[in-house]
Amino acid sequence: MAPLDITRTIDIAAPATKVWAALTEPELIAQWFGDRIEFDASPGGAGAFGWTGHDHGPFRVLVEHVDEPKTLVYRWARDANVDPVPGNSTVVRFDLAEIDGGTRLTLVETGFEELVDPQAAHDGNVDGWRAELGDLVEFLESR
Amino acid sequence: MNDVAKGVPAVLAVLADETRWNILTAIGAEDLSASALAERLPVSRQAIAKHLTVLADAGLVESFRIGREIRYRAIGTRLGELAGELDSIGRQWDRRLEAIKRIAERPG
Repeated sequence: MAPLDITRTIDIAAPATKVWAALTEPELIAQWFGDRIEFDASPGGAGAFGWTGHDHGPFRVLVEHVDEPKTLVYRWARDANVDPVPGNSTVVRFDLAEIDGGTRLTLVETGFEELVDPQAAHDGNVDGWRAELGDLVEFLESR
Repeated sequence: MNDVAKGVPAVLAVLADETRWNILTAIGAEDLSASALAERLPVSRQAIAKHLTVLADAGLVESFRIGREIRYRAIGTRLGELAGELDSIGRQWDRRLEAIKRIAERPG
């Protein structure tokens, strides 16, 4: 596991189908992220996570992998109103596993080392760090 | 090979250790003494001291004295900022996952 990845696990006393619904149904997503949600949980499906009353537009989402009700992977943009591609977005992966009495949900968010930082261009030192962190991630993933 | 390229393998080896990464993340958020680090991390004060020496030798942290206490700070502002940012994103996920749990566990 690379240090730049975010990993979280939570045990939920509900069947995987209910957890899956919370992750994929727009009206349920709106209860844990934003409040104006469009989401199509199919491979290549698009989505948009936003808030009512915010000036900036929603954060766009692109579904990369779906294996209902086990795995959901999507890329989401870090900036509003742009299509998520490597460099402006991170990848969110949810894995659902059956456990005694419910479902273990594991979240991994990756791709932070790919983010392009406009400020980096102004500071050679920063470029150095970024390069090293990128190398670090490769190194850790190749072990 | 320039200086930066030469430095990379050393920094990689230093950061590849999870405890050192956690120490660096903590120091990146605020300056801390070895004792304060030992209170926050599941590692003995002796082990913390060893890791701090390695991090200092690699030029990633430096020590300074406040009164009778020696504290450590991260060198490389961006690295500290990045660590802080990741920490904050992680905490957002903690809140979101708690909400997902509540939603899924609702009867009906």
